[in-house]
Amino acid sequence: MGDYALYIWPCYSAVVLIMSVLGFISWNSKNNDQKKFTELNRQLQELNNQDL
Amino acid sequence: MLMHKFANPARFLRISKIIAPWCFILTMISLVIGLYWGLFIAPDDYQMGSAYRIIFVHVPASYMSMFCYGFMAFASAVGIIWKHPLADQSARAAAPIGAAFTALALFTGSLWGKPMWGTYWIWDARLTSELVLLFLYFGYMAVWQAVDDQSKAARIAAIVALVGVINVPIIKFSVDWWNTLHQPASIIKSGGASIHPDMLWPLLICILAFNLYFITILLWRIQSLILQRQIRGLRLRIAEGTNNG
Amino acid sequence: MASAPLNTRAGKRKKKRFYLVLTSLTVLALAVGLVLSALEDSISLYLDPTDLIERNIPQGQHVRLGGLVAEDSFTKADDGLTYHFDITDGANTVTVVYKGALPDLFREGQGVVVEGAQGDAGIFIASEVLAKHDENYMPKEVIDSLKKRGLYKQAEEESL
Repeated sequence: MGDYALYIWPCYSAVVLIMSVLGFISWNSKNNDQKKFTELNRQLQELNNQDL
Repeated sequence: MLMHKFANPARFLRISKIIAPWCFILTMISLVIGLYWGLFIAPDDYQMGSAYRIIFVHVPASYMSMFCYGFMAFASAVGIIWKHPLADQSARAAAPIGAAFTALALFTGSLWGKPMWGTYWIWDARLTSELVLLFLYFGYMAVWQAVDDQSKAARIAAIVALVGVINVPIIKFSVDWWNTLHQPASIIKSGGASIHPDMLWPLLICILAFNLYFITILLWRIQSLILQRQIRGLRLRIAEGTNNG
Repeated sequence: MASAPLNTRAGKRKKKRFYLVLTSLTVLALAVGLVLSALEDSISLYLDPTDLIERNIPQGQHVRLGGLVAEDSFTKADDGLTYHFDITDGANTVTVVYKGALPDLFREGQGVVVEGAQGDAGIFIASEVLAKHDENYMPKEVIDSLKKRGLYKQAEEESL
């Protein structure tokens, strides 16, 4: 790749880095929201059962 | 009719949970193949030597930066006209992905420009309009952050997205309408692609990979936004329940 | 939603919003189009040699000049740092003098954009030289084999 490696590798690295970070953040927040949702659903169920 | 069924948030969640993992796997496969092919297998260019290999990330990122904005504007228009929350959420979910692609397009383009053109940056029509695109994404995301009332935020953000969509054809045709340092289109142009098949194939695979990446991340982010909305609803109901009890 | 009948009140409102979005976008596109076409000269990055001559750009005024480096016009002065070459657009040619490093893509027959001003005797004194590359991508081997068979120029013309 010669002298141009200095320009090529940062490009590919930036692409992989940014895409991985955005991917991880999106995946992680989706999972957290899913957990939160399940937990709140359980709480509501409990509340309803108490009322009964 | 299909659109209508898919537009139900609960159904969307169910279907997207099945699709997203497959999209993720396909993204990884095509991205590894495309990047490896571009870096190590594709032949050197007769003018630019190996420096042209930046094309395999630069062109997909630039193309996706515009495609993503188009998607965002379309979803915003659907949101304004049909007042469907899923359309607003799709647009909102697409914005950070588009901003990331735009930033990558500018960064890789700059690193390609230095050795070939002799400069990292020049204020020509193509580069300037792409930078404007980045600011449009930032503006769009800022609206969602700044406005507390979600339905109001959706409306203002949608207007920002629709006004900004004018910039997309300007980016695409800037190299034809004005003289620029940036070269004209190589793939999508009249008379067919002016790029050798040995270089075109890895480029097309990279474009496919970036598209699949967009779909994967978009599905995850929409899931997140739908869940957040449902969480707000649940919190309200729990609070009511405890108060009444 | 999308399939709701358009003769209901909600349907009529949707139709109204649809046309509102459509007309707003059209008006906006027209306005932007007018502004851009009015600003055409300042958006364009460079003048070509014909522009430079026809517009009588005064000596010393800073401009960008673009075109192809004319074949067989490139010379290096004895100091090894100063270069002379002609920029042509097919109709007119301007001679350029430049002292400094040239980008890797700089070569005769290729596009180039130089920044500087007209000096004495119609020679353009450049302070910066940028290479423009075309939209053609080809493996080296393909060009070499075309050259070997004497088909290179022909192939290039066909691709234009």
